Amino acid sequence: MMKKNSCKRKRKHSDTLFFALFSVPSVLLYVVFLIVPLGLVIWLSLTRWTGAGDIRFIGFDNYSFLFSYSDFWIIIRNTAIMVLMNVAIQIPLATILAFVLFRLTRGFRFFRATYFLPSIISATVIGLMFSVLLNSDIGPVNSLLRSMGLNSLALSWLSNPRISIYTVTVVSLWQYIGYHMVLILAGMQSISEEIMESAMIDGANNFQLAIHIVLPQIRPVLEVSFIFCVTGCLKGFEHAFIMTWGGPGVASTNLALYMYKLAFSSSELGKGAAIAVMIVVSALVLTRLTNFIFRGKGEEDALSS
Amino acid sequence: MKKMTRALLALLVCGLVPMVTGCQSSADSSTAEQADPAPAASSEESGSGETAGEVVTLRVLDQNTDTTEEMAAFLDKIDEYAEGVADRYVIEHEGIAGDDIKTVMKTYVAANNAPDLVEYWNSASDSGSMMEAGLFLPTDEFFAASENLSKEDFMESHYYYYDGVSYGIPMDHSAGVWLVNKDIFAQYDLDYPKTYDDIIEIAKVLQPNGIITLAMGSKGGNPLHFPLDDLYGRYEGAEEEMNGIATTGVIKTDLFVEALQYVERMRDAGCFPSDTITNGDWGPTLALYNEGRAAMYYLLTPMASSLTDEAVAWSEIIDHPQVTGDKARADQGDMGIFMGNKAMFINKASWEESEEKRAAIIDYLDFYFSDEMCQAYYEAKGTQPAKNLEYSDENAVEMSKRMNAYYADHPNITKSAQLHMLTIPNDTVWADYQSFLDEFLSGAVTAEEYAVKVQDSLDRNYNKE
Repeated sequence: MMKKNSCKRKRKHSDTLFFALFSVPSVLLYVVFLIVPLGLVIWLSLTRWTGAGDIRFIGFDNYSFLFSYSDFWIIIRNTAIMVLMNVAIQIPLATILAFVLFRLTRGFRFFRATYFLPSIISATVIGLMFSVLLNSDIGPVNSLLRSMGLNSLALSWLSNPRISIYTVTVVSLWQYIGYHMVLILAGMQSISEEIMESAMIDGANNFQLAIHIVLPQIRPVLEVSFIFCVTGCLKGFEHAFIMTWGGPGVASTNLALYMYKLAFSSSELGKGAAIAVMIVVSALVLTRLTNFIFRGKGEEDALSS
Repeated sequence: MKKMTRALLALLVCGLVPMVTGCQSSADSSTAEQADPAPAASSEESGSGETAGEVVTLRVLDQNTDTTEEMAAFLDKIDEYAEGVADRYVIEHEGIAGDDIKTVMKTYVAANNAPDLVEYWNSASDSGSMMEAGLFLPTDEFFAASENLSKEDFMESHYYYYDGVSYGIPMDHSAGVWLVNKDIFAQYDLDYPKTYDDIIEIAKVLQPNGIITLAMGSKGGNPLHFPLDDLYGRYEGAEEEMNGIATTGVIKTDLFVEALQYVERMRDAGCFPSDTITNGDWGPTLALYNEGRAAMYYLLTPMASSLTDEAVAWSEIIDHPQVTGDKARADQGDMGIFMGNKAMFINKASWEESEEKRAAIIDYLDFYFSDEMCQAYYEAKGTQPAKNLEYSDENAVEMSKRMNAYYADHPNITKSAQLHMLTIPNDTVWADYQSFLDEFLSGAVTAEEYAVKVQDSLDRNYNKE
C-alpha cells in the first residue's frame, strides 16, 4: 500500500514537472511579450519623454494633467459613445442576422460571405471609402439626399463636431457586424439538433426558438463577442484616423487615437503611455464586468430552469 | 515515461539556453551602445559581417516614393548609383511620403534605431526634440569633411539654427502661387481677386451655384496653416510677432486673432468647402480643384506635379491677394510665397561609428546633392532643391515652369510671410496648433477661442527660459 502511494506521489511529481516544462515556453513568451512591455508602459507613463533624449521621472503628473484637461473628458465621452453604440447596436444586430441565416434554408453561404466581407477588408480602405461617400460637398450620399429634396439631412457628416463621432462609430459598427455575426452563427450551429427539433415539435415558433432555446445556448459565444466588441472599441482607431484624424479637434478622437496622437504627433510618449495604461485598465474592468453580467445571468437562468 | 520526460527536458534546455544567452548578449550590446556608440557599432558590424575596411550599410529614410513615372526614374538613378558603390557600402533606402514619415522616424528614434540619413522637417516644431537630444550632426562638421559640398552651395535663408547650430542640409526651395480656374471666372463673369475681401465677394456668387471658391480645408492643420500664415504675415508687425514666439512665449496676439477672424469671415461667407475635414489635407484639397469643383487653389510646388493636364490648362496664376485696412503691410506687392522647411539630417552616432560609415555618408550625400541629382529632383518633384544652381526647365513639370516664369516676370517679389511651423519652438505646441486648426475651420471654436487654446498649449509645453 505504502509502495503504491509512493509510486503515485512520484508519478504526480513527474507529471507536474512535465506540465511545468511544457508551460515554460508559453509562459516565457507571455512574460517577454506581454508582462514586461506592460511593465515598461506603466513605468513610461510616469515619465516625460519625447522619444529622443533623457527620460525624466515625473510621478503621476501625466495622469493628473490628463484628468484636468478638458479635451481628455471629451475623448472619454467619445470612447464611451463608441462602446455603448457598438454593444447596443452591433451585437443585437449581429445576433438577429445570425439567427436569420441560421434558419435560412437557401442562400446561406452567399449571405454569410456577403455580411462577413467588410470585416476582412482593411479598416483603412473602409475609412477611405466612407470618406468619399460621406463627403458633404461632392459625396454621393449627400447628392442623393439633395436629389430627393432632403436637403436638411445632407449634413457635414465628418466635419460637424456634433456628429462626427457618431458617423465614425456607425462606419466601424457596420464593418464588424459580419465578424460578430459569424462568431454568433458558429455558436448557433453548435446547438444540438435534437434540442431544436424537440422545441419545434412542441410548437415553438422562430421567435420562441430564438428567445428560449438559441440565446441561452449561445451565451458563452455572446460573452466572447461582447468582450471582442468592447475591447475592439477601446483599441480601434483606424476609422477615425483615416476619416477625420480624430477631429475636428478631438470631436471624434477615442482613447486609442489620442494615445497615437500624443505619442507620435505631439512627441509626448509619457502621456501616450498613460493613455495606454488607461486602455488596459478599462479593457480589464469591462471584460470582468462582462464576465460578471453573463455569469450572473447564467446562474439566474440555471436557477429558473 | 521517465525516459520521455528526460528527453523532453534535454530538448527544452537545448532550446532555451540559446534563447536566454541570445537575450543576454543582445542586452549587453544595447547597453554598450548607449554608453559609447562607436564600440557598440563595431560589435554590431562584426556580428553582421561588416568589419573595418569592408562593406557597410547606409540606411536612408526619405520621402522619395515611386508614385509617379518621374519619381520612379529618380529612384532608378539612386539604385543605379547603389549598384556602383556596392563594393564599398550598401544603400538601404526606405521612402515614406507625407507626414507618415514622422511616425516612422519617431518610432526609430525611440527604439534607438535611427537611420543614418533622414529627410525631415527642419524646425523646432518638428525636429526640435531630436536636435535637443543631440541626435543629429551639425552641418558644419559634414561640410568640413566633404570635398564636394560646402555650406555656401545651399540657400542661406533655408538653414535652420537651433540654439545657434544648423543640423540639416537644406533640401528644397518651395514656392507658392494662387491659381484660378479661368473657365469658372469667365462663366460667372467675375474679375480675379486682388484682395481677400474680393474672395469673399466672389464666394457670394459661386457658392449659391454649388462651386467652392477656394479649395481649402484642414485635416491635421494641412494645408490651411500655410495660407493662414500668408494672410497673417501681411499685417504690419506680424513677422516680428512670429519670430519672437520663442523669446516672448506669446502666440495669441491681436494681429493673429485678426487674421483668424478674417478666415472666419471667409468660412462664414462660404469661401471654403462645407466639409473641411474630408476635403482637408493636400490630396483631397487638390482633388477639388482638379475636378473643376473649386475656382481657386493655393498651390505650393510640391503639389505642382499632381495637377492634372486639364487643371493646368484651365489654370491661371494671379497676383497674391492682399489684406486691406490700416494694419496691412505696405509692401504686400513685393510678397510671394517661398519656403524651405525640409532638410537632410545625418545621424551623429552613425557619423562617429566608423571611418567606412563616415566615408559612405559623405559619398552618398555628395552624390545626392550633385548638380545632376538636384536637376533630376526638380524634374521629378516639381520643387527646386535648395542648392544654388541654374535649373533647366526643359523637362520640368509644366506648372513649375509657369510658376518660375511668374516669379521671373515679377522680380520685385522677394519677400515672403513667416511661417508658424518655423517659429513655434516646440513640437507638442505645433501638433496642438494643427489639430486645433481643424476645429477652428469647422466652426467648432471661434478665432478667439482657437488662439486661447494654442496659447494655453504654449504656456503648458514651452518654457521660454
